[in-house]
Amino acid sequence: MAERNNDNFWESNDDDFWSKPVASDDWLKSDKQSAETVSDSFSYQYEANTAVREEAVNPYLNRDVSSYSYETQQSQQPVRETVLNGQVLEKPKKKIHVHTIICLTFITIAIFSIIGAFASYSMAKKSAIKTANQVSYAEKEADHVFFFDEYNEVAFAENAVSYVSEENFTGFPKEQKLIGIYLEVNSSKYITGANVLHDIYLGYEIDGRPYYQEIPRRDVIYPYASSQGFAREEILESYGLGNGIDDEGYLFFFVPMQVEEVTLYMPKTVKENYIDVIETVYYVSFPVIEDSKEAE
Amino acid sequence: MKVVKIVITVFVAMMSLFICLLSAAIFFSETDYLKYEADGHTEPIITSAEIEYLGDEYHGESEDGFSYYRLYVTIENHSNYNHNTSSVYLHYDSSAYGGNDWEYYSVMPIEEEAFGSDEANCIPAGKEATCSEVLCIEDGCRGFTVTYNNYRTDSEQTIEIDL
Repeated sequence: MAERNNDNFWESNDDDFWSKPVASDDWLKSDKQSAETVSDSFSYQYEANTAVREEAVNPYLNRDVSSYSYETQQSQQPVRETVLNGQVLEKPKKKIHVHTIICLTFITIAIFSIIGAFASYSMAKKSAIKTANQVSYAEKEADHVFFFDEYNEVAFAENAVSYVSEENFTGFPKEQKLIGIYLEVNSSKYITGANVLHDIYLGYEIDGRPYYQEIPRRDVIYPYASSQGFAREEILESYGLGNGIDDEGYLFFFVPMQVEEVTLYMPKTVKENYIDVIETVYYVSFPVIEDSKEAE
Repeated sequence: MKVVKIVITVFVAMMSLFICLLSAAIFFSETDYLKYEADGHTEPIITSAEIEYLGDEYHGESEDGFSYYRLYVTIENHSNYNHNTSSVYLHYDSSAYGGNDWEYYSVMPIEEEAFGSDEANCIPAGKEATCSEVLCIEDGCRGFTVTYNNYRTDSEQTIEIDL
């Protein structure tokens, strides 16, 4: 009875009440299980159920996977994570953001196109500069009548003629003379971007030194040439002749008085790495003679 | 909400395509400019410069305190483009006459184009060329420099001439 009193919760003043095992309570004895046992039972049952389910989901889970390969072990992890509290959690459905993906794709394309354009230009510039600094053309002597290309035929006069000097034009540059070379260009076809008879220059030698002259501007030539009766249209410039248009006229140059022979150079270019590259330089030589009208 | 998304998507797509086309257009328009870019990166080299004394008189002209010289400058062009001598300058530390215009300079120091611009000497692609000019230089001028300025690459070559 005393023992029973001791067990009476409401009457008991026993200090070690809390230290007594709960499993000794009578009402619990009928179940033949202590509180811890129940707890263990739940826990056991829970784990058993979980194991079964996990086993169903993944046969590798409750086995010693240490002997499996690393890849196999890794492959089990996501499955294990889906099992919690005895329930297999359903993976949340991934929401596919179609519009976001499309937008990001287009933005990526735009960014790459900008980067691509810059990179392409940079590479093109590099190769163009490299090409511009390489000289690999051939010089070919041409007849006084020749085909510059398939569609442009050029015909020169036999001689270069000296038209103006200090003798017939006051204030003309000292020790110089103005010579003119007559030419006709017959062109049968226009080609876009073609440089026909472009950047022509004249060469001569004095005391073994090579000199070259560009074609002076028409405005520079005209005051002197007009004094000899040349019309403005007859003074040709080196901005390109032919190429679909028949041209006829004179190429004028200032040369020193002692020059007796000149050579006219005509570069022919091709496109390479976005720039014009000289492929061939045609040249024609001319003796310089005095103007017959002047001589008379 | 769905309509807004579609509108935004279409807008982004259109803008992206526009940027692509713009990039391509800029690329192709800039390639036309490449010729000048490449030209600017080619540079003739002054290989030598000499001066020849002509005397106190030249073609019947003379002036007290001045003498006449002929300047020879040899320039090599290893590029694919013709160049001219309009970028060759002379720098004097004394007054001098220069060029065919016989213009008198009295300010020191003097910079002038070596060969003029109207009848510019050509330095053809892949060739070596000589350029010469008669100069009227004041007695007492110790010398001058011949300078080639490449304004595109911002480089400069200089040769000193002693008189």
